[in-house]
Formats: sequence, C-alpha cells, structure tokens
Amino acid sequence: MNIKRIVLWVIAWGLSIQSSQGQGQRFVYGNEELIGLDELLSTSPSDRDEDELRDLVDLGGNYTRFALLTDRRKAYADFLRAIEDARMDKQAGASASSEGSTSLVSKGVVPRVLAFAVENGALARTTDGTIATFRGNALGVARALAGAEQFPYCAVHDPRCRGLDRQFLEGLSFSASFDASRTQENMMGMANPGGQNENILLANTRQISGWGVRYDAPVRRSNFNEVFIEKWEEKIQDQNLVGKANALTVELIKAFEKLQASDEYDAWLRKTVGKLKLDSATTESDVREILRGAGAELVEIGRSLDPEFDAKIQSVLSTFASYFGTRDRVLSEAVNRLTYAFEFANSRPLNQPSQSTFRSIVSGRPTEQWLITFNGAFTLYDSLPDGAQMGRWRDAQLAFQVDRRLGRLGSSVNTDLSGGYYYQFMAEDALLNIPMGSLAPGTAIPLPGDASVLLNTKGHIHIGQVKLTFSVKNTGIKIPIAFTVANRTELIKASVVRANFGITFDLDNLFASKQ
Amino acid sequence: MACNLTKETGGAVQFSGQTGNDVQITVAGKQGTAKIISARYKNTQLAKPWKFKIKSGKNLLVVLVEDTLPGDFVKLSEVCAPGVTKLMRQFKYNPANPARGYLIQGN
Repeated sequence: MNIKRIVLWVIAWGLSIQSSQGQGQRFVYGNEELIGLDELLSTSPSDRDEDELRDLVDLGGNYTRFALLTDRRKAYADFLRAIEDARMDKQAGASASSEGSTSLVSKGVVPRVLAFAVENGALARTTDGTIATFRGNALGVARALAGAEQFPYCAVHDPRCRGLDRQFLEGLSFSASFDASRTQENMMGMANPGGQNENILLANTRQISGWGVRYDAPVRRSNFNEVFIEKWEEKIQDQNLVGKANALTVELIKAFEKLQASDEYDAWLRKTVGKLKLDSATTESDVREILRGAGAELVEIGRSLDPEFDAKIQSVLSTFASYFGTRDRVLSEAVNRLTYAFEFANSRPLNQPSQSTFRSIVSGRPTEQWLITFNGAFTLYDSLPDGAQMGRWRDAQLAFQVDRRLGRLGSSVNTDLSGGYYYQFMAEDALLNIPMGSLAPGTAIPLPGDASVLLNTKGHIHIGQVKLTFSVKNTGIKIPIAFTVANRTELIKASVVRANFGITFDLDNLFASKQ
Repeated sequence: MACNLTKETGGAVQFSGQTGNDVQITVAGKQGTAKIISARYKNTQLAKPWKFKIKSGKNLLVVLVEDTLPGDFVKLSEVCAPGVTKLMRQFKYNPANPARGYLIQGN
C-alpha cells in the first residue's frame, strides 16, 4: 500500500514539474524569449511593435522550433540519443559487493529512465553468480509511466531548466538485483537431480539478491564562476564541436535559404505580423491559435517550394542533435565539478544473513577523456542469529577507479578502458547459514533445522581490476569484459583470478527513440 | 572599412548592401561571454574574423552563437572600423536555439 502511494506521489510530482516546465514554451511556433509574451499580451494589439512581432515569427530566429514543429518526434529521438551516447559515467549494473558484477566501484551517474544489466562473476564475494540488475530514475520512470515527455531537453550549461524539484527527482534512483540461479532447491542446499538449466529470471522475491536507493548530487559551477568561464572559452573552441557547428550551418542554408528568400515567405511574414496586430489577437489563446496556424502554413509553403523539404528538415534535425550532444559533452567538464552520490544497498547473499551497505561515491572529470571515481562504504548485518558472539558491523570498503575513453572501433563501437582497486576490511568473521536439510559439515548427517557457522574470515581483501567496455552507438548496449585479481574472497582465504563479463542495456536510448 | 549593411524593415529581408562590399560581423553578450562558433553566407563558410563580401540577390547569412549565460542578451553588430561597431540585431541566447538566419539583399 505504501509503495503504491509513493509511486503515485512520484508520478504526480513528475507531472507537476512537466506542466511547470511547459510554461516556458507556451506556443508551438514563435521566438517567445525575445519579446516576453506577458509583455506582448499586456499591449493592445494595435500598439504592438511591428519589428518585435516580426522577430517573434521570423523563421531565422526559430530554426529549432520550426524543425521540431515539422517532425517533432524525430528531433527528440535524435538529439537525446546523441546526448546519451556521449555519456560514459553511468552505473547500470550491480555494485562490487554483488555476486555478479563487472563494476569495482559504483559510478557517479545512474541512467535517467531505466537500465538493465546482466553480469557474471563476483568481485569480493566467494560465490560466483549471474545477476540481473534493474536501475531506474524516479523522474524518468514517473514520466514514462504517465506517458508524458520524460526528456525535455535541457542543455548542460542551462540552469534555467533545472529547478530544485527536478534536480531532486533526477538524482533519486532505485535498483533491484535478481539472481536467476536461485531456485527453491538450491536455496535449500539440494542438488538439481535432473541437471536442467535452472538459470531462469523469474524476478520473484526468492530471486532478489539485493535492492537499493540512491541519490546523486552533482556540484555545478555557476555560469558566472571564473573557472567555468575560462573552461567554457577553451571548450567552446573544440574542433569537433566547431565541425558540428559548420555542418549545422550548411544544413540550415540548404533547408531554409530558398524558403526565406521566396515571395511566399515574405507574404506569409507580413500576413502573420498583421494578424498579431488585430483585435482578434488579444488573449493568449488567440495568439496561440494564430501562431499554430502560421507555423503549419509555413511548413506547407516550404513543402510546396521544395519537394525535398522534409528530407532537408530531417538532416537539420539530426545535425542539431549531433551538435547539442557534442556541446553537452565538451561543456560538461566546465559545468560539473564533481558528483556526490549516496547509496543504500540491501543485499541478500546466498546462505548468508542479509546485509545493508551505506556507500558514498565521489566522481569527477579532470579532463574530458578521464573519469575518476572514489567509493567509501560500510556494511552491517541486518540481524544476528540468537546467541551469536559478534557485532553487527561486518566490513568497511574503499575503492577507486579510473576510466579512459579510448576511441572508436569502426563507426559504431566506442571503447573505454578502466583500471581500479578495491579494499575491504572484514571486521567480523563471516556468518554462513546452512539451511535445513543440508549435511552437517564433515558428516553425512542431515541438519534437522537451520544452523549458522562462523567462519574465520576477519582480515583484509585487496582486489585489482582491468576492464574494457564496448559501447554500441545508438543502442544503449554496453559490453564490459574485466579481469580481476584478488588476494582472497570474503569466505575463503585464497587468492583468486576471475574473468567478469556482462551486457548492459541503457533504456534511456529506447525511451528517447520512442519520443 | 565603412558600415556596409543597412537595416530593412517590414518584410523578410533584414539587411541590404552594395554587392561586392565587405562586411565583418561580431557578437557581444550583455552579461555573459558570447562567441560566434560558426557562420555561413550563401555557399561560403566564414572564418574568423567573420568577414564576407555581399553577393547579388537575396542570400542567407546563418550565424551560430554560444554564450556562457543562457537568457543573456546578445548583440550582433557590423564592425565598421577598428573599435567601431554598428548594432544590427539583438536576441536572447537560448541554448536550444543557438543559430540565427538573416536574409541579406545585395543590390
């Protein structure tokens, strides 16, 4: 009941933010920012300044909106996909303490809507497993459920579209991990007599191996900050960005020069300005109707003058998307100093008491190509068996990882190289639950009930990892492959070398393409 | 170098000038720092210091401007002489709409 209430509350909040953001752009067509619509509407139509009205509707000041008006879905899909492709600092899979993870550290940013990861190979745990992890963001999921546009574009350096409420919901995320190998039989310590493949993801409560809640708090520089301005001036000259800007101006001239130079456009402009000076353009809804009709009429004029108009508009949109994505990527270093994140994770390792981990994450980019992430965490047993002579504090963890973007393999695969170190101090001996029906250690006697064994596992765990991640362009798919060396695992004091691999699907891209 | 562009009002043409005359443009933000990232006139990609020759007929000048401060007022001016500029247009910088197009009539 409470969970339902929380979900409904998140949806309602998401929708309220959606509607408040919508007030920023009240009309389908028209450069509202220049004049100030309230000022326009408060002036009697006949007293309105003709030059200002011309600036409001002139195509030359409305390229993005006109392109969106012509093919709105295409625009959103393309530029959001471009932005998402440019990000490499997302945590999609399980954390290091899971039985199946490729991540030695928890990363600084989580997906904006939903991500799904399947990873194999434990890092610190003794038991290897295959873990499926779902991660979701409160704002994105609320909007996806409500059917609203969950991704209004907000440039990385634009604080105007980032209110406190939006920041909070964007930062709040949750995760649930499932161990597909957990069946009734193996949880009771029984063999699988038929030898069938039981690794089927049922996503039921028995298969839940962990869940968590997390809040990301990026620390942004002010637009007036000297360091921001200095970095902005350097980054805005980025050759890749300038190349995208040049490509955009080429596409804009191709698409719009013929239209803007035509007599039809001149007549349309004079007619539209004239309509906005009539008494029938007094209220906001009057103006909205005039601009909606004028925008639609202009699309038809464009199509009548150029049979390839729609194709040209699509080129404009994809070039805009590429430019926005590249700009956000190069400017993110100027805007974002650091990202702090706080995570609560509850894990239910097989045959051990459930544990709660409190983790603090700090990540930052010293340069565009490098990402550095630090984690600090401690874990408590949720409860101890009756009579256990030990404390609830189980362990403490420290980790850091460095990621370096290597570049492209062909035209559609990006590669990132990561190196990391993880340290865990086992403050208490690990508790192992032996379920009813299992054989007592060293005997052939089945246990009549659950039992607990205290293993001699106090001490230090050191783990090193090298990881190569392949990201497939425009799909949200990432394939991490890692090699891990550890001096021991949690339950067994013997060194181990493991290969970890996985596949993650960042569903942000899928949601973006459905826009 | 003199001022070679004249503002036009009423219709789609925003500036006019003598064909063959040189024009240099620049931008300045009111509170933030504004820069031209790219500019193209007809079939010619412009480079710093953003100069072009006016061509005959109606031709489109597209200017892509970025500013450190979203919402800042940006002034687009013609450079008439070193240190002397003439305001052509001003607009509010919107990161979601960074490109502006101006139709220039070459006489």
